[in-house]
Amino acid sequence: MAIINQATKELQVKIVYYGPAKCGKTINLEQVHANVQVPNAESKGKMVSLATSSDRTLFFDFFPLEAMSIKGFKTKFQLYTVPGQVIYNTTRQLVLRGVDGIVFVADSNYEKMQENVESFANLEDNLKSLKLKLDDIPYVLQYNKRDAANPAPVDYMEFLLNNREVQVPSFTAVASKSDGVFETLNMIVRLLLNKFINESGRK
Amino acid sequence: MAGFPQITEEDSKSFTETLNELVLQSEATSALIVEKAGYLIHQCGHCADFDTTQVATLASNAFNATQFLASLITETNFTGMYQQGERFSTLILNVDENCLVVVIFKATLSVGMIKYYASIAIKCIADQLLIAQGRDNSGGIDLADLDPTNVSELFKRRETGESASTTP
Repeated sequence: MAIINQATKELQVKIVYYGPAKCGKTINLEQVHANVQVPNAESKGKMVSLATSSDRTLFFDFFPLEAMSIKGFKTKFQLYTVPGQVIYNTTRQLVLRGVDGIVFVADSNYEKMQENVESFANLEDNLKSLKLKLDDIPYVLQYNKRDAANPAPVDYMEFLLNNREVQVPSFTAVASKSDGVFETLNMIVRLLLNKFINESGRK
Repeated sequence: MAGFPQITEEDSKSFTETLNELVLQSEATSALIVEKAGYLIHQCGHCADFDTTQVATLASNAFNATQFLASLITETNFTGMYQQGERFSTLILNVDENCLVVVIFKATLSVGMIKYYASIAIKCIADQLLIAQGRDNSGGIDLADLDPTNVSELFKRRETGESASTTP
């Protein structure tokens, strides 16, 4: 959950990029880190990648990103990825701790549809283990690798992954070219702020 | 599980006093209060030499991972972990279900001494967090009149040729 520090006037929010192995979670973070406009160098921290020797995420990738002040509060976003490989499920649970918003990155390759669906189900299971419900957490879908040789139709991916009572925003992307990366990030930020607004309104 | 409470000026002052005392007494280099999801809450001492945001993130995730490992071997009592270095070492200690203290100290110092002073600090921090938990936090950030469409492009992509880190 977000941290509000009235003393330093800071709001800290955690966003986790989730999805199957090799779907492009790390490349999303790398593209944001490399290309985001920031007012000063301190607004963007170094990127930490705990990866294997073959550059597969072992624990997580992380970097902190500061946005403009909102209502006098400095807003700090902590962007994380999880390891996609099935065997690292415990690690995914650990990284999901305290999550405020989720970007589910799906691989558009036709043969990856089963892995996408399994990873999405795994996300729900892991949230349950943390006593959280996906419906209570802002999330967006990103259909990455649209430049693949054999991409599944977007409608089909919507049917597989966005076929719930409340549909969430979804974006097509080619993260390696930065296409769709910032649209996805800005939408999850917008959903998070909407959630805070709704919670403010209830008080 | 109660979440991490809002931090006020009163809490911040208390944390500063506690961490400064810990650093002074133990001769540690720096001390951090870290939320277990990875947020850096407070820091004192010589922090400029380290990226404390990264330290907080890595310490919390390392702690959570090792705690899980301990539970796998049926060990329910897991209160801390120690990274022994050649120049600097790190002691990570549990405060409560949401919070940790991370102490960075010269490797020449005794970890036992650091742990002794840290345990005193932990009690003070835990007491202050209890006070913070009991406070009415309904006056948080009032975003009720914020239009999220105005901030929908909070993060923009740098155009080709722009500086890598800053906007003009």
